[in-house]
Amino acid sequence: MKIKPYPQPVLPGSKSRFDVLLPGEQLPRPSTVVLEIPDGDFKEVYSSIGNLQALEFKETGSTSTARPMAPYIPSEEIKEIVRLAQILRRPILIKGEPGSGKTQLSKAVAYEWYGSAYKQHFFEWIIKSNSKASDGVYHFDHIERLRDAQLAQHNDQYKNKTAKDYRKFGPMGMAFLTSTEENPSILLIDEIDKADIDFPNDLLLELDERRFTIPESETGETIEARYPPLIFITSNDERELPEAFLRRCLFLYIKFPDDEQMMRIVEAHLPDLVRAKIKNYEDKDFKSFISELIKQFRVLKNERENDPVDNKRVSTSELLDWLTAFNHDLQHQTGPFAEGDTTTVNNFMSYIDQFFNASSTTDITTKSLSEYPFYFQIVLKSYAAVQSHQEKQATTK
Amino acid sequence: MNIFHDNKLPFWAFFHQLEMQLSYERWIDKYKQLLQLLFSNDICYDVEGGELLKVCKALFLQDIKDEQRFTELFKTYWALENRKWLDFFTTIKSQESREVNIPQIEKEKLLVSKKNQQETKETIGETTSNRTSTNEQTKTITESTDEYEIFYFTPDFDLVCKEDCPHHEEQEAKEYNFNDEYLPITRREMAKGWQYLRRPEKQGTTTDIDIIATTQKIAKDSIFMEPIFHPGVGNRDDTIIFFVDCNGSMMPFHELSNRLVNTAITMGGHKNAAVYYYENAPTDFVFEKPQLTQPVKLTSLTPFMHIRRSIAVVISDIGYARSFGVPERFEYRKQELIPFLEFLNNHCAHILWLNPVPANRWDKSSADFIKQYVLRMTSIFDEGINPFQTAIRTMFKKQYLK
Repeated sequence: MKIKPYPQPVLPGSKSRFDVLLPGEQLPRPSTVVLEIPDGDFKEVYSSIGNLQALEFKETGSTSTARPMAPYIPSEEIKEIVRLAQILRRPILIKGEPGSGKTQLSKAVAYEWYGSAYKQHFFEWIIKSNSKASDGVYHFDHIERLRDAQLAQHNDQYKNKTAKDYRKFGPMGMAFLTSTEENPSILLIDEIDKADIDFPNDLLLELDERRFTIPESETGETIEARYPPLIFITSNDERELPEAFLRRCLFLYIKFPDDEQMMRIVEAHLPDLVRAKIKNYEDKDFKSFISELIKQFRVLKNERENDPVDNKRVSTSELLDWLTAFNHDLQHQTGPFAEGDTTTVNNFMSYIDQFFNASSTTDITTKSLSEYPFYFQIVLKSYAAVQSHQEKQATTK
Repeated sequence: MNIFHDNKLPFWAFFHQLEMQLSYERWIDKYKQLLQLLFSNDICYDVEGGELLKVCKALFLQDIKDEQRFTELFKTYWALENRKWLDFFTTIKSQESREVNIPQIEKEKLLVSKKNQQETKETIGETTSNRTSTNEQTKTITESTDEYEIFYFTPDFDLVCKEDCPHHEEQEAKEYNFNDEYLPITRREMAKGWQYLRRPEKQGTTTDIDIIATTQKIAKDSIFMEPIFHPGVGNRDDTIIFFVDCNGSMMPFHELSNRLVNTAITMGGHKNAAVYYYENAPTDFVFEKPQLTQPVKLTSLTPFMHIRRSIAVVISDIGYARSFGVPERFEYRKQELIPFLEFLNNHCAHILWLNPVPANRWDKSSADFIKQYVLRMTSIFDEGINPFQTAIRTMFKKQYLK
């Protein structure tokens, strides 16, 4: 059994494919990648007795640009569970707050393992409320077959079609057929809790034995994975999953990262922000200010979670939104940095002044909403939350 | 697969506690895989058992809310079986001649405890589990194994272990329960119980073609006009109607009743379940609010009930929470309950009576009276594993046996 390491080192001295060495830099740093993905189709490979054995990707020679892929900084738990899932050959059930990177993990593993060829090994199955288990395995187009049967009376080209021409594989079927020991496929079953209560139970055999059978009335084939693919299943915990399904899974709960890991994530997503210079403080290390913002974000996040009025979850994604907006204003000199806007500039700059000049910053939760930057308010997701926050400020004063 | 010297399965008591306290199933195949991982040297040893805990969490911790309790239980049993684990890891690793990093501190502890029974001053915590090794380390392991065999299970050694136990301060703090899962039945158990009461029904259509029906239609019309699809199946979410007894002897069970109702609505798949409250026995009215405000006429509920699918769930102790009551009072209450139960029997498919008091404390005459009218009267807390789930799962089986 080959255990593929995650992250996969590719550069000397690096730990991940996301790490790149820029000219003049000594240490690699993670960055967003935009990939040129080879185009092509999957071709069916049959055995000597006519059984479907595998799907092989045939490149056409052209490439297309994929969506940018943000870097993923995995924690130790994540690395360990990817290793365990390969040893135990069980799917990983990922839970976590919205925005904690559950879906991104599977994509990151696929990119780390296969680079620009990741689309050939990575299959996504996005679950909807009306999804059925068989949708992900295969689909038989009866309507097309009936239509062709009618047309065949007048046109000979439809007469040679067989039942196999109407069968199309879903993401799970594709993952089973493409997986090999050298290159195991990766399957993402996203938001399994959206579907009906019985949905996970319908997948038990497929997850357990990695095979499925198409009924005799269609093609009568039995499809079996040559090598188990690595399966990631995400859930927002909106519903209790059946015991029989849970028994087959490994569990991973993605927690809010610690400050150090969070800093690395911010550096990876917003490298310009970390290296930015602020007027009057060109000599100061702006990174320490970002680090302080992360700490303050954590305080506000905890405050939200303990608030009985509004316990909506905020996570990594909200922090990155914060800082992206902040970065935009800083780079373009808009918003609180716009010249002439004295009110917001004063508020925000006073906060920065306080940070760089005072020995210790005041606790963010004791300030009123109008006193600190607008971005902080992104964590208050409801009117009730704003109300309770303001009441709290009033009582502390 | 006995891997300990005393022929006991490792951590078996830990998994038993998980089952009892967190209602986690033991999952024999996963346990077997855990043992396989141990034997294949995929888990490293460290003093705190951190590596093993990580693997146990990945295999068994299905709900992050239980993480604290899970870790506490793990630490308790790790402390109890720590010596056996050390022995196991030492044996496995010396057998396989693999790289190991048995902490130096363990060896020193063993020596000191044997000689003087004095307190060791070394600090624990520097024991990382990297897999690199040197010849020196390998030598240390063989030495420690030998010494270990000599000192294993000696009484004085056990005594020192107890004295060294660093958790006594933490244990005092644990007397306070900061978790709101203090009831003998957890939210997860409730939600899973309610899921057994879901009722599938035909909803819309699927994209699956009903081949037989379509062929028949083609034969009938002599031409293929349109396919016939299989009907879809969904779960009705308004099957349950709750009637919750409030105040009086039910006062201590308000939180329990709320949780039962909330879990059914939020997690149990009955999001449109109606909830009504009453005190003692509903006469003509029930109330929409637990404070017994917003009265609703019982007869006005009939449009929301269906004789073939509605299940009325009554949560009440029949006034016998303290296991005794005034018989005359019950006689009076009975006269009020009969019309209510008859009304439910006439308009609902079944009545499930949930009693928060254990069955051995029920008043026999009143319980027998209620049982005449309801499909099932069951206790929420009772002996055995998951009595609530079991009761609901077997609810209709009992009806069949009747």
